[in-house]
Amino acid sequence: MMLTAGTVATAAAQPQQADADLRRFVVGGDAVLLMVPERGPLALPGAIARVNLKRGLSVELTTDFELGRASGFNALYRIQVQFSFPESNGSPRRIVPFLTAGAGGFFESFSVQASHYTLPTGDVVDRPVYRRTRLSAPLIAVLGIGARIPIPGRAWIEAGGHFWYGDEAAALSLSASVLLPFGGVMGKTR
Amino acid sequence: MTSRQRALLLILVIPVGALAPGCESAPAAPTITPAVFVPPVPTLRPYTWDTADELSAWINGVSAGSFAIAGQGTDAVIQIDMAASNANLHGPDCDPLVRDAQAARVRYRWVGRQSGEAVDLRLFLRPIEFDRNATLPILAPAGPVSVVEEHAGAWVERQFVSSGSVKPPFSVRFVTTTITGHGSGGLRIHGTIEIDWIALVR
Repeated sequence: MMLTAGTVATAAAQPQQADADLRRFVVGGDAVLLMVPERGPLALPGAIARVNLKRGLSVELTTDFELGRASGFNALYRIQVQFSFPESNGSPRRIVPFLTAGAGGFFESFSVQASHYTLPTGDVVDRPVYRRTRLSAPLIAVLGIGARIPIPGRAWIEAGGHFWYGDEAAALSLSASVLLPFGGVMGKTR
Repeated sequence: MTSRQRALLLILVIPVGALAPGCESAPAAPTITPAVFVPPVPTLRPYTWDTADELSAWINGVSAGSFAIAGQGTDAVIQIDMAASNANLHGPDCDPLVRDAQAARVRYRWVGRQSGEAVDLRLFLRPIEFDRNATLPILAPAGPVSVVEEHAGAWVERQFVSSGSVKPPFSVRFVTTTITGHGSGGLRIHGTIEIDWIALVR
């Protein structure tokens, strides 16, 4: 459905924006609304780093953080391939639809308070404060769909939705991103 | 795909491979002040405390509760007055120390129970050396557990197995047993728990 919408909205892109589409690297910030069954929606700000391998094919790493925790943070990450469709019948699209496929996981880092307790055996445990850091394996499959549109200043705005599916849970997320391409221009295909 | 594109792809694939197993930082090493150790007692059967002398080693200055030894020889039992308080029986050191414990078994009965009351038995295996997490294996009755005989005051013999993520074999210096009563409205329960014997399973 979104692919069709993107096709209908096709319009000639400005030359400057088309160049931006061909830059080697892309960085940006995003906001994700994560919806996990039996839990409330969670808003996560984050960052994106992308490498364009060729026009229409890129790989990217996204990280989104749960804030508001004084002792540290939890974060989700995605490593994914993005297939975009910047042209229609040889003409550049203004609204570019894309599909993504990849894997996700989480990482966290937080400070654990010092503790003092007695075990049922009578042993007394004193543990000093320490920082706990954990990185999960990327074992959650993530599939997505969306579209991007160029905005003035060589930047893009992307909007999309993702379906997360792992052993323990499934979730949906919606995301909105502002992306800034940089680096060398790849060989033009048109 | 050009060689440059392949190189870029490798740059991204290598970190993915590094992420594959996941990783976790180690907790800060705790400082552990050891419990009081109770000297070992000779037993007729290895790691089984059954006779009056063997069970008496569990009635010591470290154990807490209201209890006494009743009976002679292998007929002896530890009687725990559950109307007075919960109990924590601190066992003697194993001799020699155990390095391959799988579970534990306890034979006991509850005399004088009243309706609506329950008891919870747990065994804790004190490792010879604690790990960095100060992990203490907790053993609970292996399921499915029927309490019909227990509530009727009959002798029951139960196997206790690890109830947490920690799996056997376990190293064991000594065992502690907690007996906790659960009465209606938070009141103390009635009756006496009698423990006939306690054994480690290797």
